[in-house]
Amino acid sequence: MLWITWRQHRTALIGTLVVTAGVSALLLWMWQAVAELNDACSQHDCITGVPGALGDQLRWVYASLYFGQPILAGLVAMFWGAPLLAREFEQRTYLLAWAQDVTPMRWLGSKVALLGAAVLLLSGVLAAASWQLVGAMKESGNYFGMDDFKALEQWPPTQVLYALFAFVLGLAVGLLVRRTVLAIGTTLIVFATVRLVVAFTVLWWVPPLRVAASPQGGGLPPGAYYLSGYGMPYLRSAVLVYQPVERVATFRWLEVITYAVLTLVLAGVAWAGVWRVTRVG
Amino acid sequence: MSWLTWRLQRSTIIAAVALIAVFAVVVPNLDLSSHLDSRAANGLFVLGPPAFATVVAVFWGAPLVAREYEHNTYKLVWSRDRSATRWLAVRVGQLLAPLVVLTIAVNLITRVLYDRIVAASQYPPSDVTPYDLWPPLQLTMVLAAFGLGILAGMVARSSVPAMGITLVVYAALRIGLGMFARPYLLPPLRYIGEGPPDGSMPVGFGYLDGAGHELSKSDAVTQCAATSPTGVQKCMGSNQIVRQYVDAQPPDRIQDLQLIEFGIYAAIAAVTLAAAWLVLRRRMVA
Repeated sequence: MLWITWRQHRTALIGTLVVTAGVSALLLWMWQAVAELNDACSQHDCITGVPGALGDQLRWVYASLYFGQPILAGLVAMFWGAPLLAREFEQRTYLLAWAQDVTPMRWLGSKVALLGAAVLLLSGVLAAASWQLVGAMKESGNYFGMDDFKALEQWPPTQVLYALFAFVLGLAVGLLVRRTVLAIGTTLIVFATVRLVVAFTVLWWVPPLRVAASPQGGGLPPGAYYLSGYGMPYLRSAVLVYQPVERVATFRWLEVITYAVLTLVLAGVAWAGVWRVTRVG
Repeated sequence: MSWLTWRLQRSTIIAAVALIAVFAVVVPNLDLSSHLDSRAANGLFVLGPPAFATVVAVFWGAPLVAREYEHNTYKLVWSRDRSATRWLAVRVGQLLAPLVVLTIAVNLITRVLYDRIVAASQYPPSDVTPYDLWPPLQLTMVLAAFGLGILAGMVARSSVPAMGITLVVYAALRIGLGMFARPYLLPPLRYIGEGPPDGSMPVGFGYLDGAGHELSKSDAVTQCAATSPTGVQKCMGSNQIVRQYVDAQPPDRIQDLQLIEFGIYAAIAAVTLAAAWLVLRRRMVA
């Protein structure tokens, strides 16, 4: 089974491995650069701060930090998950593959276990590398403005779970659509939608707090994440809407649990779907 | 577009139109005074047009030829009285018209979004620039994507690997050229002791020693610290021991940069389409 899984998916596996290795190397290189400058600037006073001293490299920091993980999860969803069942249906090989002495459930189970383990490994490596960079950016103090709220999506358990979700989503879509190219396209749209909706709304899932703005324009407690404001700006009546720093853990777990539940539900759908097909067929 | 092309491509064409329609509905309804919506607006502005081009590459380009190989229909389609190369030319030609129309639609909606973002904030984010919105550039970006997808399909002869290769190569091309190579397409100008004019494209900045050699940033800090240990900030800002420079592309060069980038994407589009055509012709002769 290990051999068959490798043969069938090696192109996708090798391609994704290369992308993950490249992005991880970039993240670690940037982590080195930020950490070195943190050190130099703590001894002498850097006039421009760490991001300014990074100069042109700053682009790489943000590109690798914010694009790396969605690209990995997107590749996993589109090219590992979606074709897994869709291809068997499209080429009618499921009749053959599932009629052998390996039962369909064992066939699916071992494939999902092997590929799922690879997803865990790759996304874990990428998550660890990006968390290093986030840590160094937090040490730079106010220069980057990096904090636990800004790095909510970079928290390693979130990154790993959302790669797993991507994989199982592709699997379930492939089962329902049964045509490879269509399944890949549908997976991409659903994955991007879920990912964006969660990222943009999660900080509103717990009702935010409100505080009156001070006349100087400030007034947020330290570490808070500003969501919006209303009232007249620069006047005493302005109200700031925010999430306090104590809720970081709540939001991390909210996101992790959301993706975990979605993953389990979709895995159940795929499981039930294959079971039904083999019963009827 | 012929009936056959429509039949074969309708799901991808309808999907692209639907996505653009969603984009067109979302843009006027964003409330840019809210923090959440303005973040979404910036994201849409930066990622919307490249996402459209990528979808064209992966879902229109890559399966075009690959599917015929995968389903073995090429034996039937290309053995008719019309040659295979003519088949390719006709299929590509018929998809060009909807491609151009949809790209113009994306361009117009993104322009509306740009105007809204600029009107809503005094200091729009630095990545919200009208650079990519120059229509010839945006169009060749999409055509290069389409050509790349077709060539990948011709080489891989199988849809899924062709789509994967296309996605990775096109994303790498756009990120590499758009984020990293763009400021260096012309040698940037160096401004010492003065800032570049308003509206310049920033490239980088650093420090020079008295002889005019570039200093690494940590060396500049160290040199200043050695000479005036109490006032490193003052020393680095005053241009006495180390001088600050800024590299930038002044505003009157932006058009030239756009023209060069347009040339690069046009060349990629032409080369990939020609290569696909040549590979197909060679295969038919063999």
